Amino acid sequence: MSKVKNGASTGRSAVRRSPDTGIKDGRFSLAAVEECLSRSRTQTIIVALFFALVWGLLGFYESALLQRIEGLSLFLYDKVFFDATLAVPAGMLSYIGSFLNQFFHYPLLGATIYVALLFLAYWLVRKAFAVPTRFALMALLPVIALLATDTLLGYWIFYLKVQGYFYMALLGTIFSLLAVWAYRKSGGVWRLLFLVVWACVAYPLMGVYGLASVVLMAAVGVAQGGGKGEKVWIVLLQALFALLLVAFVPQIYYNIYDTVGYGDIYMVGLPLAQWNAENVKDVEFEGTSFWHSIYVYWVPFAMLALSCLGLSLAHLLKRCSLLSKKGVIFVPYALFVLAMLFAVRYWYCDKNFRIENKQFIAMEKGEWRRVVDYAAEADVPTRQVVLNRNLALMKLGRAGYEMFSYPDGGTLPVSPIAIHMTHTDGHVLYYHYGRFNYCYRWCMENSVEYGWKHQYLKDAARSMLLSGEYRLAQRYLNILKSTLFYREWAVEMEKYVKNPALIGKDPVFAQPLQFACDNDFIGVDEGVEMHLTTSINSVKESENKNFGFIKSMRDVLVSGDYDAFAAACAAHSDISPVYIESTLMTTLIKKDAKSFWEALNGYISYYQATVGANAPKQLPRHYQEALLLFKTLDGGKTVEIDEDFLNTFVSRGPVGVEANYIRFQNSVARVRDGIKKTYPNITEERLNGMMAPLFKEEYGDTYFYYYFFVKKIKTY
Amino acid sequence: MKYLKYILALPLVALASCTPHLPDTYTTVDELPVIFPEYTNVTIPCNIAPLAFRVEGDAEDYVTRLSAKEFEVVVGGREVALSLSEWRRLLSAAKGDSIKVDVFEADDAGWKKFRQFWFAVSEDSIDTYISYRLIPPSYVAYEKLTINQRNLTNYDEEVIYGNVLGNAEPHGQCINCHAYKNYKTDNMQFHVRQYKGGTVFVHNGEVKKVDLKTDSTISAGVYPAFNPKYDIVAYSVNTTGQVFHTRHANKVEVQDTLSDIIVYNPEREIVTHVACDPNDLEVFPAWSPDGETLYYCVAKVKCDNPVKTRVQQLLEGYKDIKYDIVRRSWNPSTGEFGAVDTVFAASRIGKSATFPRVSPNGKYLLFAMGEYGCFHIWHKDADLYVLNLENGSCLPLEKANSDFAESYHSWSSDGRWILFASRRKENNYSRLYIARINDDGTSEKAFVVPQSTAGYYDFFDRSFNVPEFMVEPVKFTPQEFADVVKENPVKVKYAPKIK
Repeated sequence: MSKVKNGASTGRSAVRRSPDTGIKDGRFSLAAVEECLSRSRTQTIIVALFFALVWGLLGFYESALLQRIEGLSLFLYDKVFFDATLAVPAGMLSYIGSFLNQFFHYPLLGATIYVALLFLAYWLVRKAFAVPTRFALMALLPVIALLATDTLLGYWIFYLKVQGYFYMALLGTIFSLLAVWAYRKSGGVWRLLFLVVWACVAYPLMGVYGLASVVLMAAVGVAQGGGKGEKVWIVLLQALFALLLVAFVPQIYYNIYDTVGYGDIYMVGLPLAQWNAENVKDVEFEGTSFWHSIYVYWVPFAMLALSCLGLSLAHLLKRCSLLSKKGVIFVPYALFVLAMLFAVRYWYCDKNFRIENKQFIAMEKGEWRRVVDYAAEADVPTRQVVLNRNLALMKLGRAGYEMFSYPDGGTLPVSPIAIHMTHTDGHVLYYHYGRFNYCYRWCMENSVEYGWKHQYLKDAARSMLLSGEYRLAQRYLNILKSTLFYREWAVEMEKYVKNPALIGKDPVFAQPLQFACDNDFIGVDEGVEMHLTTSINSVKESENKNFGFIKSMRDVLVSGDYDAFAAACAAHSDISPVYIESTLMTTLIKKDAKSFWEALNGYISYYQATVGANAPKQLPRHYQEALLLFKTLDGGKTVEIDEDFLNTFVSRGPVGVEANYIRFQNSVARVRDGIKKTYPNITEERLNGMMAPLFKEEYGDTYFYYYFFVKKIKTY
Repeated sequence: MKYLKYILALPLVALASCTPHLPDTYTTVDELPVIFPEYTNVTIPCNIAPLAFRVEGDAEDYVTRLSAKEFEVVVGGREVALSLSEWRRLLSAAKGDSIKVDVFEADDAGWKKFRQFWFAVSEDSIDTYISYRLIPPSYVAYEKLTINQRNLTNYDEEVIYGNVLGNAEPHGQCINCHAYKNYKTDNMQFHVRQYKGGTVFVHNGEVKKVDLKTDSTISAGVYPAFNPKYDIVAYSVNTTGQVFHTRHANKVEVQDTLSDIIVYNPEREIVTHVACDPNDLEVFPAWSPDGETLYYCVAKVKCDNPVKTRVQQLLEGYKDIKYDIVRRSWNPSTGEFGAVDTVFAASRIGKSATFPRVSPNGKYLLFAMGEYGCFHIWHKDADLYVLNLENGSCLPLEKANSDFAESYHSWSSDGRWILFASRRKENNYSRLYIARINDDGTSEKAFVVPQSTAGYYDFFDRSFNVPEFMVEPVKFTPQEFADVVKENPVKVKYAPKIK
């Protein structure tokens, strides 16, 4: 039983109370509550629960995010990497942060390390600022702020230029707290010497966190010095000296480092330069969201700084005996509750972002059905979700049956900056659709802007492997062999570099290669979806294009000669079935009737040849729907479809696709007339908006619903 | 205390036991060892930094002996990286002769010795410094670009200027085209593009920022050429675009859609045209050593399709753009240029010649030639050629070239060495190579600029481009340049004549 302090009732013999609540004799007592809250066990339980909760949330709920963080970081056991990372102030934090990021490869392991370090930070806060046991919850405030600096990231995981960011604030705080603790324990001239040495050493290693620790030392000095009754002017002089160090040490290092601009010297180690209003002034948002404000990202750092500063000055309150006032025990609890609300608010839980992450992990494992299933969780998906889904359906051979059976549309990612698919997972789509140069290009471009990542190295290696550029592929594999968790993958891939004949035999590579059958052509990349939907076209004729599916590429792949590769592509006239089907898919997505008819002919030729003699020859459902719809819209002006054709390829029974389409037509006409009678001046857009939800339940999984009611698709 | 001497001697004993020894017995194999970087049988300057290399293979152990006359160094393990002092002793002993290298490899069957190879040590030294831009081989993105200077006699490397010093998010800054007058740094320049753009120009030891764009020229100066004798600088002015290959290993085409040649007088702050025919693309100026002849490249272009824009036509017809090398005399008294004289008509043989550089003795013209276009660093087929200006004979530098792109070359101040960028390792990252040039204009085998570790080029993720020799280091610090970059530029004026 902990001691009862601060004048709380001690009449234990006279009072019967429940052990850990504030209820005595069945009545609520403020004093009893205060006593209960003051107990160290209460606080210990809350702290333990807090860390357990964070561990669980990270390790399970955010496991896909953690794996993405790991994929989007890089650590190499190599001197060049070490030198390059340490060439920037705060490089040490980047280096250790990148090292620790690796362990998110296994989310539970990574979460355990992360939470252990969070706990270390908590413990050090208590030690460095001598936080009394009964105020232990106050020590969680910086920890919650630290957590928020990571959980708020969302799409920034693709864009941050600071390497090892996920751990940097945490590590910077831990080292700062250690220094503050040491400073507290030192005295006299040693304290001053420590301050100077630390400022000079910490800045190159920790950047802004080094400077922050000096400010904290100044604050601790003021609070502590005052407590000891030292002369005020000496205390203030020390604090002033510390502030001068903060002001001038970066100036000195600016002339030593050539890797940091003058404008960044006081914030090096933080991405604040990126979280700059100037960066987002031209961005147009879809709706309004908390996450659209760039200033949101600064707040956890402000909270971290203020909470540490507040705790460092807490001695002043002790000196004024404020900490022993009645009722003051409620303050840490209130602040803790507020901080938890803050933590919840700062946890980026955007559904599409989470789906994209889960889809990506599944794609990497080749679990294509999962990719589709995750897409079903979306309300209005981003185009990344839709494209991932369609890729998976194409791989599963289910596109014609399912591609409009899932939530569709195209909302923009929720972020203060304009997100481009080329910066996120677009390069992976390029890889799967055989655009190896474009995949490689965006790995390269993104690595230039945001640093090399495990993921980019992997995709650069495999895209160049399938381009026949084996030396280049080997370069990236060699680098990956210097990583902890990708070495095995690199060694596995190396066997293809050493014996390219194996590439043609591996089904994993067969599908991307079927899209690599176009002759080379030049252009600019106008966006992932735009490029794919315009360039994947099995019927378009152009002098630059001569489609051919390479039946056997073994010889060409062995040679590693891209000219021979191109010639072999051009020499083959057969087109890959998946290419033909993908062409048909793009016409449907684009609602392009003319292209649909062209693509359908090719599709039917291949389809007729591939279905078995006894198998039904009806087209997959969505193609039937599109056929009926475009036939109606055309009205026989350009396309003639006879009854035999329909009997062969379309389900025409009472529960068939045709009957469903007729019901849809009739229902739409009836509802449309009704609304127009009520609102004669209604605009088409508004009318559409009113009708869409009415038909979603019954027809939401049809192509005609997509055609009429899925509008405002925003690709990016 | 009596044991103290033994304790003190322990490290020495341990050191002696770790000292590599040549195997007493071994078999001999008649093949060269595979080493990286590929330094076998190369000719090196007598003051070059140690050639660190590693022996490739899966053997259990390696021993390498480097010897010159009576001096030898034995190195154990795969990595061979000598100290500066050891290497200099070797160089000194082998000057005019060669350093012999014997590699021994141990596996289950015992030791075997590879065929000996050598580093021929020339009596000629090489210019102490080189400078280059470090840039990732990306396409539109750039970040953390630096122009660096490297001391070739050791591994010291410094940043001359880095764009992060002038960047301010979200504004980016590209830096390029560093150039020097007569291999010295009292007159030099580099460009800063976009944010706070301009040309940082050191003129007789004073640094300034100038804006070389005028209403009469299509852009600010791009590719520079300091006149070695007179106080003028020639530039190309260019409008450049790029398009991407979906499949080809060249990956990108960088193509001018407009380009002319201008000259700049830094004293009077004026520019004027040298060549500005709208039907020609003129680029890559270079002066003769006497400063009285200007060489540059010209491609004739035809854009007569009224339906398509000039840019469309040029980008679509990128394979038809072939550059010839021409020259024009320049009269320093009047400032006037003479008639155009075609020096090498590459287009007549269906090729495109770029980047002419005249040797310091004026005898040879070194250039890069590929199938088409001007940006040969992205063209796998690009090779270096030497044109004898006295007799007109032209030959590829067979020993220096590779199956991959060679471009961006420069002569050492004594004309004995050339430095150039090559993508021979994996067709993507440009590395710097040095080759000895013989009196007859042929070259010896090229070798990559040595680094302190053999694995440096495995991991280093930037390309080295626009390599230039220098006989002295740049005297301004990056921060001093940054201060100048932040200033407003001196705006040059257009004048009909440079004098």
